[in-house]
Amino acid sequence: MSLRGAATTVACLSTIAVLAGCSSSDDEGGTGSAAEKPAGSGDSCGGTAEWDDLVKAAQEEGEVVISGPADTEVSDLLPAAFEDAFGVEVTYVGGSSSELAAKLDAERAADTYSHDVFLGGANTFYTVFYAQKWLADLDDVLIGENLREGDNWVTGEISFEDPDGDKILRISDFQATMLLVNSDLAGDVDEWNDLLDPAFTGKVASLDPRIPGSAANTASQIADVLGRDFVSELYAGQEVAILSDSRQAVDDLARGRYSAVIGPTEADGDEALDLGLPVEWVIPTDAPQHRTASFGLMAVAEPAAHPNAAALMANWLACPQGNEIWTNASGFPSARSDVAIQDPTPSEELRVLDPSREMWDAYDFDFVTKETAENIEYFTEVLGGS
Amino acid sequence: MSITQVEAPLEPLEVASTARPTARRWFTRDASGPFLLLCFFVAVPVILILVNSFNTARPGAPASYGLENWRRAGDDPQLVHAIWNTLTLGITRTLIALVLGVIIAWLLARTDMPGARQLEFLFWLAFFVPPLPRTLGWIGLLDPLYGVMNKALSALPFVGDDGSGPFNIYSFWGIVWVHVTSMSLPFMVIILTPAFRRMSADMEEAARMCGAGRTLAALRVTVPLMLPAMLGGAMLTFIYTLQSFEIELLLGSPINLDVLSTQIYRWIRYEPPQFGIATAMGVGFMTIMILVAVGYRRALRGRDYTTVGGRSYSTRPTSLGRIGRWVAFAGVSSFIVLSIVLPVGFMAIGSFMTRFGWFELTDPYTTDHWSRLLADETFKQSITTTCMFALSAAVIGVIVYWWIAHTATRSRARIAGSIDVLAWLPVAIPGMLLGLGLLWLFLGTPLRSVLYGSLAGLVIAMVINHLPTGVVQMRSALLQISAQQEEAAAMCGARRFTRYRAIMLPLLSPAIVAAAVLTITSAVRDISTVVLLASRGSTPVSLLMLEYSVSGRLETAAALGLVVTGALGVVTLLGWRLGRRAF
Repeated sequence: MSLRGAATTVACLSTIAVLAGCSSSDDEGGTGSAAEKPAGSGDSCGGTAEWDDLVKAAQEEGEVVISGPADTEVSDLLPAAFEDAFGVEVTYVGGSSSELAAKLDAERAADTYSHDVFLGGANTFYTVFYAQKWLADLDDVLIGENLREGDNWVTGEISFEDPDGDKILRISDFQATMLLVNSDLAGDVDEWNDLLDPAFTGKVASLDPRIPGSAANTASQIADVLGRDFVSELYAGQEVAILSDSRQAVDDLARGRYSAVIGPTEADGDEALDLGLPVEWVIPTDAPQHRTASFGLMAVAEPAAHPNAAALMANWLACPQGNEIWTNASGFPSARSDVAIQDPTPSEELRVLDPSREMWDAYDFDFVTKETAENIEYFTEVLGGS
Repeated sequence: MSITQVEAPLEPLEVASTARPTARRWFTRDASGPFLLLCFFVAVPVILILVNSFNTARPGAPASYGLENWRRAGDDPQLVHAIWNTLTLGITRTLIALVLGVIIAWLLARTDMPGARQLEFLFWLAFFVPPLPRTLGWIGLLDPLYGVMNKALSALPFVGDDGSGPFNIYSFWGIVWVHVTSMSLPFMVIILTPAFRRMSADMEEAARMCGAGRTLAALRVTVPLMLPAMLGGAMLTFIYTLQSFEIELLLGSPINLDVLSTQIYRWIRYEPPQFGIATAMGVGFMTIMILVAVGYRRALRGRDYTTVGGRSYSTRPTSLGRIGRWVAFAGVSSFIVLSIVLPVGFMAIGSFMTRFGWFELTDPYTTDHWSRLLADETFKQSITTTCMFALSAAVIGVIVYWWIAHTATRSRARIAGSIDVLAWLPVAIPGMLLGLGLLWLFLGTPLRSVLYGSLAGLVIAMVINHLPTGVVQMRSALLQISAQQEEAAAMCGARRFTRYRAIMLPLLSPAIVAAAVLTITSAVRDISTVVLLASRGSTPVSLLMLEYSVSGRLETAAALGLVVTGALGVVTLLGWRLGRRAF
């Protein structure tokens, strides 16, 4: 085939794909209109007149804007399920909390309010959203029946993470898996201490602990439990390679470039396991359970663009039906005791929190707002760089 | 060097020659529009960024100003290394791209090398491939431990197999290689080829008639006349490669090789975001770039680079000889194979793999990623959004770039120099900071409902983001076209619009097409500029690709990358048809 022919073929294939994308999706189901949905449809906390009124008011607003992780599974499933249940259109904004904070900051300075519900991690939620009073009081919002009953929650009580105890709700609650090892190379790794073995020198990689996130939380836990000298001994002494991409880290681990990787995402590690690559999660026994929520903190904007739809979305996510959709789409075990991941893999089972065991909470408000910055400064000192 | 003296302009006409009279006014009617436009959409966001580099408050808190951000940026122990790495990497790849780019562009545009048009198309295609899947493709090929190409080379008897292949993609030269093959060289060829085409062969032929050999004629005539395009292309390549961070992030992080863009990226992604520190670094960066822009203007000042005059215009190709033309073809084709076929082929295969690069799996191939992509409602929506967004940006962009370049090169106003520098500014601002500046601008004006969260806002952002490249492309083209053409038409009674349509448009068509296609490319690929401005529920393709990548769905991202590359190929083919005169 000539170059021109090859180019034309590529062009035609692309055009077909583009046209497929441009075609109307009207015939593919879509969501029903608000008028077609009964007031209580799809609710699992409903049944009260107050709930029915909320559903009707949300349907009148017609739209809800929710921000959360840039995960296509979540951005596909969550809006579809909510729209199907209540006939309220969902606009899902995926992205990092830092981008969202910049956007909201500029919006609020211009008296513009476009968001309703936030799903995210601890740092920006606590240090920006909560600190700047951008969040609504959930006492006024959460009306779902039995929502506050302790039995419904893994830890025996509903968990609000902010000092006021009414603005940031934990809807995911699980034990983080932070250490992935190459099962062919690592031997018997049970503890963080095992990584100090000279055999691991130059064979350990970590996601960047100098940037707030799961890798920084892990290094903080190690510093908290085993001491800062241990962090220095591990990261500097063992010449830990600092990587920026979780998927790359898992691939390199499975290929044997490294024997252990600290802080890859759960999704990347699990996918490698599902494909039968030689990797396995290790829960180090010389540290307590690393309790986290990942993107599973929920809050409502104050003021919200669509207050009733925002309240309905918040209730739905906190109640079993919506929480189940979130849990299965995100893959993060639920904070609710009556919601579980369907057909869990061994890795997902490994993450289920055991409230009877000692826990180290990476999402503790004081830890995040007071100690994280100090720890990161120390990690920067150990590793160099920003 | 052959420099012709341009005749004095005809006074009653508004068009001016490149030689300006000494006494000039600061403002003229033709310069006011572009100047005000640039002040509003470029200077204001830049000033907002500058002011906010002193704002030490956290997002949402009342502003408090001080030098803390600058101090923290300066205290960063890696900063010196990052600056050194940035400069050495940038200069190395720009020089390599410049030398190779001049040779390849000359071969494509000025010689009888066979298959020149097809090869040029492939360089455009090379530029379209999104950097993330391409870099992953190169890792799959050249990883020292498991790279397919390294493994194949290790099997050769004279190479030997010591457990690691002969090439290491995680190295200074690995980064240079990926940059040169994926960005710098294709970009340089795209910029230089139309400029070489616009050059009349008369001057080269005159040099040959005077006894100069082919090489001497090229060195003494062709290269000096190409100076605006070469300098512009080299500086844009240098600066764009400084801005990019995906390649350094993937290939530099494992060997602790930081550059300025990755430092800025870290501060932006920090939680809570440290925009103050990032903007302080960005402002420092910007100052250097302004100096580069001033230097660029000074380097070109007082000389005439006209190659298309009012009298004759010959484009006869230089003969390379029967063997020489095929040798040239083989050389350029080899580069195409190395820079495009291998990584794109790997990307195409990767989109059908269960896991990118894992051939050893029991069931390594699947069509699931394509099925998932084509069934994804967000994909369909993002294609529609991107089609509208990119085409609008291209049309509006070309008009704006031409307007500004025309004013900067032909206006007698003293402010024309400032227009040049203002048009250059966006290139010095990391995309996310530019997006942030525009976000502040859009939300801070009464036009907020029109500009914020709308397609119009995205289009403006993209036009501003691509402004330096578009203006340099137009400017290089305009510098090669004598003002005599417009003056003659004006003397014959042609109105301004007629002069532009009948004379300038045909002569500038290659540059117009190139600017339009590159604007579309930016609109389709850019993530950082639009991430804060994208309207709710209107995700451009670039953000969808980012979403797939961060969700760990690299195979689906690769599939989307192929769709994007193919679609941009279609746009280029259409562009070529439109600008057929030059191509």
